[in-house]
Amino acid sequence: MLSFFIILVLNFGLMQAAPGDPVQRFARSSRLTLADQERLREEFGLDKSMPVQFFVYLKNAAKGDFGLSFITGQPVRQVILAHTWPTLLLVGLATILATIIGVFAGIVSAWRRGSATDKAISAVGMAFYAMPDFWLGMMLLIIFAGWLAWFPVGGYSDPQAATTGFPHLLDVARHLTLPCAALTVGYLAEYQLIMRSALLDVMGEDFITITRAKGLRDSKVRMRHAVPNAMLPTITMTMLYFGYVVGGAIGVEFVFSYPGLGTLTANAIEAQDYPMQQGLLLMFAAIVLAATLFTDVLYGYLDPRIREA
Amino acid sequence: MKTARRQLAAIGVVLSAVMMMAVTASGSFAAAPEPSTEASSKPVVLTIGTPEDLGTANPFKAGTVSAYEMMLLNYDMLYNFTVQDLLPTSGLAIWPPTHSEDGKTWTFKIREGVKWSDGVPLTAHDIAFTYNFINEAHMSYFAYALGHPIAKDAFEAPDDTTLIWHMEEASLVPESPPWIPILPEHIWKRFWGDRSPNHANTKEFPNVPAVGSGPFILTDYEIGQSWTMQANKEYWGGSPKIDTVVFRVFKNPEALALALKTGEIDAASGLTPALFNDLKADSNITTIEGTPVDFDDLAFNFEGTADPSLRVLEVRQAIEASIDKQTLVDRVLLGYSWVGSQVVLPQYKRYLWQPEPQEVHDFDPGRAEELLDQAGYKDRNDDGFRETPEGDPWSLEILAITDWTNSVPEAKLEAGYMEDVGIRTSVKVVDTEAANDLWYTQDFDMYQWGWDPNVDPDYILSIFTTKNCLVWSDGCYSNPTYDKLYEEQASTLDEAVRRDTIIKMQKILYDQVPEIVLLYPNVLQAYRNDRFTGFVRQPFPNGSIFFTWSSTPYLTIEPVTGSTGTASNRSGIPVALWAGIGVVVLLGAFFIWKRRDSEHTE
Repeated sequence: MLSFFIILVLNFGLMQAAPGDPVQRFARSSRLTLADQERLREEFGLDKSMPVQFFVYLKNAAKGDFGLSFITGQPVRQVILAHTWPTLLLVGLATILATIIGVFAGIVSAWRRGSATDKAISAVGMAFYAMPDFWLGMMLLIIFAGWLAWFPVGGYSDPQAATTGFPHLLDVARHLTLPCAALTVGYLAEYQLIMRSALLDVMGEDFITITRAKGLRDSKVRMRHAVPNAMLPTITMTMLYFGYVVGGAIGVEFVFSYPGLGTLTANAIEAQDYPMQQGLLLMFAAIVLAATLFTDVLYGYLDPRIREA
Repeated sequence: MKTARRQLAAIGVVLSAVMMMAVTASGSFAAAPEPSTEASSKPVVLTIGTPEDLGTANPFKAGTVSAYEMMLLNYDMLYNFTVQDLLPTSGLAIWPPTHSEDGKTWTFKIREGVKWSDGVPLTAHDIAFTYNFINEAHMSYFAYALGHPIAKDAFEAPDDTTLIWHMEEASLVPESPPWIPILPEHIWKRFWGDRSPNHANTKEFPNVPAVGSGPFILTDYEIGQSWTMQANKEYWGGSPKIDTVVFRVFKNPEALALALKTGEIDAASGLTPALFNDLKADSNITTIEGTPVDFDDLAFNFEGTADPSLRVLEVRQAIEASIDKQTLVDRVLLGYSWVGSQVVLPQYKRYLWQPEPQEVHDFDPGRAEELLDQAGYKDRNDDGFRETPEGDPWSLEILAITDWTNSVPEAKLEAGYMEDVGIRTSVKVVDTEAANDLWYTQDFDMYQWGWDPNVDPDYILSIFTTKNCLVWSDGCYSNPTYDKLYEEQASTLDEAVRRDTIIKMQKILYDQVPEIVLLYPNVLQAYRNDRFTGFVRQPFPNGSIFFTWSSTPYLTIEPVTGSTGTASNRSGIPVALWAGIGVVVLLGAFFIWKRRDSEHTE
């Protein structure tokens, strides 16, 4: 809670620190007369003192009220919520797939350390990791949506398709495939490297030597003893990373015209929509804090040593 | 024996799954069926791709091009623009209006038999309500189109088919179609007298689905994705030949062009020059290079910290002569632009003035150098750059704005041209926010900007008046003669006198160069000619087909035989590939299971 309060204060301070008068910026392109600018300043509360503005800001934030978008006039909360589900779906699915594939690749890579398989997996993973996600997205777009026309070019769903039921699910799945693939491929190398490193550490432990000495098959040593102990760092990284990726999928969302939080953030910055920027900043902060808290709880559940401590 | 049975069962599962997938895939992802004779029973859907989201369907918050297109389709205006040459013509009011002798009372005959989309009759009361509401609520973005000042309740409707406009001062303003959508009083009256902060109650109204009188009515809006408009088959101007128009947002310009190529959309607007060139090669796509709707300019500052040399006419004329506008057109916009000259766009012919050939300000570096020499700006130390008449170092700065697509490359080219004639010039790149701050504090020399003038030149001409310093004026240019002419054209009732006055004003601006009109970018659009036909360009014959000045072009669009637009096309992964993927996945699972089984046996 303290962390969130600090973020609230910083959020307010950052917007105040931005140079210039937001009404003037808005007025220049909106053909407002000087009298209208003064009226607008008064109506947005920008004529009030800083402490009063801060108090009103805190009071509204407590109610989840971040005001109205400068550009659309719609409640910021409503607009953000409309963009949240598509991003959670995209990032969530990509995180799950990247984790599964990355962990599996990391296990294979670690167990066959030094082999051609290990080198190949690491090289391919690093190659994809080095590619900017928006560039990877463009390649997928051109090849699979352009040349082959196997998937739609962009969007979350077809405006003319069904909006409920299985047909809607299929429609969303089609639209999700390429952006999800771009994020998954770009991130799985991180999980692969973490898993590989953690597993190599565990493989050197005495208890692994003992299980082998007891005559257990290799696959059982790996899956029942080594991997569970090596999973903890990977899980931690997954949960921590999820919070950051939610706000950072701007590149992929732009390439595929995907209506998520990344696109909304880019639009808010471009249009100088300060209420929207404030709302989004708090949203991302809340997600990161929640993911961190969840990680702490999960870690304690997975590792009995931490629970007993 | 048991193992063999298991293997057979597994193979059977694999084959069954493959068959199911094939059946499912053929239903959901099959390629487009051949056009059938029953295509007419399916709704005809025109899908237009655009880079800009609607933002809001509320007219009082609308500020995007997309929002204005939605309003043009969803609502009517008092008057329309002709398709041919953008002259005023009948809209809800029958053209022309009449006025009293003193020019202060105007009377409009309103069309009978028009209904709102919810069946309520549209009358003069709705128009009077809309205009009075805008005035009362200080919606100045619209109010300026009604002229200033406007008295309270300036608009009245003595009966259902008569609108009376009481003006404070005589003017020809009522003859210009005001860019104001006429709203249904029975929907919006609840906000009359809205005194909430920033008229929040009015502006917060989502207006989806909307009630309108136009040829297409907004029925759905998915934020950031698309908005859908259904045809109003009872439209007074003629029943549209298509059933639905869907606008889809593509922020990525490459994706927009790809979507048109693959058939995911039927038309696109807002294409970039490079992608526009690429689309030309496709025989199923017709590209449209539409007449410009705005211009890019290099504006001079006359106040604040502006370099004093910019107040010298010869210096401004020299800067203009030093810039090769044609090269800006060719290099920045790949030729998709007209060379700029005056502030009234060339296709707005009603009040347009064009210089005679001998008056044209051509690219002429030699003349630029002569003008600078005359003004006393000479290179006294042979370093290639000129000094002030007093012998001091002299340099100028251009503000380029990152958020504007062509601003930075244009500014850099201009700086190069100016240095070629000895003016040391730098480019300062800022975002719109920083540019506005510098503009308000008048802390700049020159800056890249642009304007989208209305058909009637009153607005664009007002920008150069003294009273608009720090409101709309680019650099606080001030000319008492010009100011006087502006007031004259705004108050005369004689069309011929107004035209002559406006022409004089254009000549002053052209000669005095308060800013350099650099170029008029073309509007780049395209459509699938294998699906739709009947597109009309406004103004005819070189205008755009969408995002124009009226909804009339949409009334003639119709499908080619057998097409229903994007409703008839669904591309996807071929059935055979789905089947192959299914086989690979299931076989892989089978072998993994088999391997585990043999390990267990060992």
